[in-house]
Amino acid sequence: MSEKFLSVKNLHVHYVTSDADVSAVNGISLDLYKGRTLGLVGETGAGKTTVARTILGILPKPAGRITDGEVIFEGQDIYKLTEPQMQKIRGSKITMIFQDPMTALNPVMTVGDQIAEVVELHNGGDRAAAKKRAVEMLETVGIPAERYVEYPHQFSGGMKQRVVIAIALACNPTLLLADEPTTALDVTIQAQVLELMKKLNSENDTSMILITHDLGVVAEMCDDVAIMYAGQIVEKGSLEDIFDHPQHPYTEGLFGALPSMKDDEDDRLKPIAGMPPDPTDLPSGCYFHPRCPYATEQCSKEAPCVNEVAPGHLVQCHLRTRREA
Amino acid sequence: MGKYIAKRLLMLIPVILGVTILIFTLMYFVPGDPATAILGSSAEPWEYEALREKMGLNDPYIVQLLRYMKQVFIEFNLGNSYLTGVSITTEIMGRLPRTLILGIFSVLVSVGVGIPLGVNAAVHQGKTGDWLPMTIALFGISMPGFWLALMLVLVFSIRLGWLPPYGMGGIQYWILPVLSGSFHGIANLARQTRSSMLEVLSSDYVTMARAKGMPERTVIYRHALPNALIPIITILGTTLARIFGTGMLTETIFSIPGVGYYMVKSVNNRDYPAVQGSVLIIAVVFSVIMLLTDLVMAAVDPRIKAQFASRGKSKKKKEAA
Repeated sequence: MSEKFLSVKNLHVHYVTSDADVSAVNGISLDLYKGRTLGLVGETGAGKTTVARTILGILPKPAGRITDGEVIFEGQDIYKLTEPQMQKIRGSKITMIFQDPMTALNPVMTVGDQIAEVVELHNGGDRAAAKKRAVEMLETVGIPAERYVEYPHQFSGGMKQRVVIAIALACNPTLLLADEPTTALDVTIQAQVLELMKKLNSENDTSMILITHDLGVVAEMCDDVAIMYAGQIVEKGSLEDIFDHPQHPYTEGLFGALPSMKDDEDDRLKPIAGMPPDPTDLPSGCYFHPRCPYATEQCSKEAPCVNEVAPGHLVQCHLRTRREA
Repeated sequence: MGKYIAKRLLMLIPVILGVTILIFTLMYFVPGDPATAILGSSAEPWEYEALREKMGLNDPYIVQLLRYMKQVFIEFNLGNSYLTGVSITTEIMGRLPRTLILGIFSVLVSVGVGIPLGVNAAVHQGKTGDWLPMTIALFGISMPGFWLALMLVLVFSIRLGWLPPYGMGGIQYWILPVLSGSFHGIANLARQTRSSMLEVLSSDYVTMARAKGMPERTVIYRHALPNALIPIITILGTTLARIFGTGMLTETIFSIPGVGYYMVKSVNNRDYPAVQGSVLIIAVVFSVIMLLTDLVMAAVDPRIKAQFASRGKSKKKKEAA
C-alpha cells in the first residue's frame, strides 16, 4: 500500500452555543493513503461535513471546538500550525468541493476571477500566470475559455459545480475533500461530474475524501469506505469489505434501505427504524442501540470497542466482539 | 446600459409632470387666500377682488393649471414670488447649492461612518465593537432629528461654546448641521450593514473563500462586503431621500438659507408659486438621486445588469412579433 499522508486520530468536535452543546464528532480515527479515495458515508447530521471542515480548519467560529484528537497531514499536526501557515495549505494542498454549487460561488465575481484568485494567492501573486491557469482549468472541466468573464448566475448547476471543481483542483492539491459534490445535481449531471472528478484525480494523483450518503456514488468512486453514525465511524474497510461483507447492523441497514432493481419476492424497502440520535443528548452505550435490531442489554450500557474482523476491516459493535469470543 | 439610462431619463418626464400637477392642485385647494396674504387683513374688499382678478385667481382651476404648466415647462420660469416679486428661479438656484452641500456631506458622513461601523460590528459579533455602536445606533434611529439638532446646539454651542449655533460662514458653521443631518443615516446604515454582513458572512461562498486559504481581511473586503452592499444601496436611496427631506428641518433650526428653509417660509406666507417651485426642484433632485442609486446598483450587481439587458431583449422580441 502507498504512503499514508493523512491521519486523523481520535477526533472530537463540539459545537458549543449558549443553549446547547452539540457533540458533532465523537472520536473519529481515519487514515488516508496517497492516491486513494475514501468514502465517508452516513445520514444527514452524522458529522461528515464537520470532519471535512475540521481537516481544513474552517469550523464555524466561535461555536466549533476541537475538544480532543489530532489531524496529521504530511507529517505535521495541522492544529499546531499558525493561521498564516494553515492558510498556505488551505486551497493549495488541501481543497474542498462544497455541497451546493448554487451558493458556493460569489455572485458578484466572474467565475474566471474566482479560479484565478486562488491560484494567485498560492503562486506568489503572479496575476498573469494565475489567469492563464484559470483559463486552462476552465477548459479542463469542459467550460469554454470565453466564459471566463461570465458570472455564476449565467451558469447552470452542473456548470457551477464544474467551476467549483476547477477552483478546488487549480493548485494541484494532494488532498481533495468533496462534500456531497453531486447531491444538488440531477442524475445525468451527477454521472458527468463524478466522471470528471475521477479522471482529474487519477491524472494528478490526488487523494480524496468523498462525503456522501449515496452508496451508488461510493461504489463508483471509492477505494475505501468509512460508515459514520452519530459522529463515530462504526465500520471501516475496503470497498469490497463493506459492500460484500457488511458487519455492522447500521451498514446492513443502509444496504437494506436501498431500492433493488431485481425482481425479488420481498421487494419492499427496509428502512432503519427510528431517527438519528439528538447530538445534544446522545444515548448511553452504543449510540446505535435504540435503533439496532440486535441490541442487547450490554449495548445500552457499554460503548463497544473497535474490532478488526479482517485485515483493515474495522467494526465498532458488541455483536462482533461476542462472535469473536 | 446607455439605453437603460436614456429610458430612465425619459421616465423622469411623467414623474415631474405628475409632481407639478399634484402640488399645484394641493395648493389650489388649500384653504386661505393669497390676496389676503399679500394685502394683509386691513384692505378694502374691492382691493382683494381687484388683486385676485389681476393674478388670475378667479379663473377656473384648469385654466390656472395649464397657465402654470405652460409657464414652467415652456418658458422655464417658476414665476415670481407673491410676496417679494422676485423671480423664484433665481431665489431657488441661489439657495440650492447650500441644500446640496448639506445633503451631500450628510450622505458622505453617513456612508463613511455607518458602513464601516456595521462591518466592524458584524465581524466582531457579540463583542464591544458590536454592542456599543449598535446601542448608540438604536438611539440614533429612534431619536427625532430636530431634537438631536437642538441638543447638539445646546451642548456644543451654548455649554461648550465650540461651534456657532446657527448662521452661515466658514466650515465651522456646517459641522453641527451635517452631524445632525447624518446621525440618523449613520445609525440606520450601521444597523443594516451589520445584519446584511452577518447574513453574507455565513454564506457558502464566504466559507469557500476561507477554504481557498485567504486571509480573513481579504475574505471580508473582497468577498463578503461587495455582496453585503447590494441591499445597502437600496437603503441608501431612502436614506438620501430622508436626508434631503429632513434637511428642511435642519436648515430651519440652523438658519441655513437653503431650498428647504425657503419652502417652509413660503408655506407660512402662502406664497404659492414659491412652494410649487421648491417642491418641483426637490422632486427633480430626488428623481436624479434615485436614478443614480439604480445605476450604482447595476454596476455592483451583475445579476441586475443582466436583468436590464434581458429586459431590452424581450422588448425587441415583442416589437418583432
